[in-house]
Amino acid sequence: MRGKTFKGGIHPPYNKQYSKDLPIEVLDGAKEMFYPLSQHIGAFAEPVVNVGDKVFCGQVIAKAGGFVSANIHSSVSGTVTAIKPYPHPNGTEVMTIVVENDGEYKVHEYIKPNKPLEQLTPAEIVDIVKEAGIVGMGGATFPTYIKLMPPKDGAVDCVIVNGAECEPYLSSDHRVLVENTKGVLDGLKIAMKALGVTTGYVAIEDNKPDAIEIMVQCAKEYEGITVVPLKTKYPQGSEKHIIKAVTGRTVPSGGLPSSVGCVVINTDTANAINTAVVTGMPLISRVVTVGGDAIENNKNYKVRIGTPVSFVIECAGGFKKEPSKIILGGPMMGTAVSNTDVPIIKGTGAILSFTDEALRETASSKCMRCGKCVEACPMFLQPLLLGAYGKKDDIEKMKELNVMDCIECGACSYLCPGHQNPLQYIRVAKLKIGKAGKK
Amino acid sequence: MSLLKVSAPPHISTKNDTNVIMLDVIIALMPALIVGLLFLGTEQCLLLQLVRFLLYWLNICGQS
Ligand code: SF4
Ligand code: SF4
Repeated sequence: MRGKTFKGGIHPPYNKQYSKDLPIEVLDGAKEMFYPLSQHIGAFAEPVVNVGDKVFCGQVIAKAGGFVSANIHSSVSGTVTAIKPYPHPNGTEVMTIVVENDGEYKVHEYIKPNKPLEQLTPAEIVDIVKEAGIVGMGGATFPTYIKLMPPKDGAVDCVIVNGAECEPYLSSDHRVLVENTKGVLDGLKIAMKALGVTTGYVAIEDNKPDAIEIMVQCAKEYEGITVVPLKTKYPQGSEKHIIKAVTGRTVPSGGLPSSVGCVVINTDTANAINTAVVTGMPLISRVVTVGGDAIENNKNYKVRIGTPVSFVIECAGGFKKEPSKIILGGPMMGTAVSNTDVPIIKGTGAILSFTDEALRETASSKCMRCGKCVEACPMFLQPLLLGAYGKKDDIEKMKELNVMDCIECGACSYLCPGHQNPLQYIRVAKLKIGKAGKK
Repeated sequence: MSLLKVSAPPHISTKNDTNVIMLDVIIALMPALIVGLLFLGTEQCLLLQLVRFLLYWLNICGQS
């Protein structure tokens, strides 16, 4: 069985063997839980509770602050003790609601199962997903309900569940696919109904044969859902590249997946959609892989959103070696955090801690024009030139070279023998262009 | 816990850096070098100079 794929890309060491066979363990909340008002792309949510209020599991504590925004729910029951700026995984301080956990996990009476799927209209489904605060849990954290609203021209004809999980070390999606196969498929079915389409795909990289096998078996009971094995290659899990691999369509420069008739949702997101529709429980927990060479035990945890990273690390047995870097997300696209007080938010797929030896930091030398970065770039850009113009801060030239098409996969920086790190300059340029555009 | 490092992603990079690639180049030139030396001797063999130059470059890269 040869998996489908795209052109370009790289093969970093995947290192999934450490955690891929570990079943998901459910973790209780910490004493204090932190809910930043920004856990998604778009406008901040607005708090609807006050200090001293009693809150319950699943209760809305902050309402979406705009069209592109998402509700935030308490994942424990307890008392709101503060609403204050607090360290956020992105490195800044963000307004955060702090809830003291009473350890009872009482569910809010508002949470009750919805009508069975057959009786729900697409608009009702979109509403449930919106209320549940579900966002893309692969890291991009785009509010899912917007994706589920069919575009006016009705061009969408398929939904793809992204089970590629191409980032090294990560196994959270893998575990969800294996342990919660039905949940993922039901979530996909719900998304298909919301969009009024009859074709659904579950795309899985072929380094997860057990997940593919069980998926194929379960998918037989679902009409219109096909399981697509993909070749293992980074960045296969990128929205644009999974569409290319599954359907052969190319998302145009600057276009959205819906412009080629596709909607892509992450595995854990599909699962969350199903939970929200079936039980009424909003997005309050997610699966997180704990790994890296500095951690005592590798784990796959179902963590309540808002749990501080330090608490999760303690549960995994703490560090066995002095960590030099802690990364939330995968090693290719994740963010390095400066302290472990930051909470797990909706888009946090992993906590990885590495020692200096594992990171092997190297000084950059010269670009020798080997072209490896050009060959690897899945967006067919010229990272070597982007990097060179970036060093000169020549944003105009970078724009001409389509810098905005870069998906920030990091393949170029990973592969560069001279350690030029073109992506670093690209990110700076994209930020500057974005800021200039807003003015 | 001592201070943690922060940096932009990606946080990993390949082991194939410039030094390794240049070493590969030298290895690939070995057969040609041997034949060159056999037919032309040490004085006229340009390749020998090239390999010397590459080794010199490797040295520089190693130091930086
Ligand atoms: S991979 Fe690095 S050295 Fe090679 S062309 Fe690209 S930037 Fe230059
Ligand atoms: S230029 Fe952007 S899209 Fe291309 S390899 Fe580098 S990070 Fe990936």
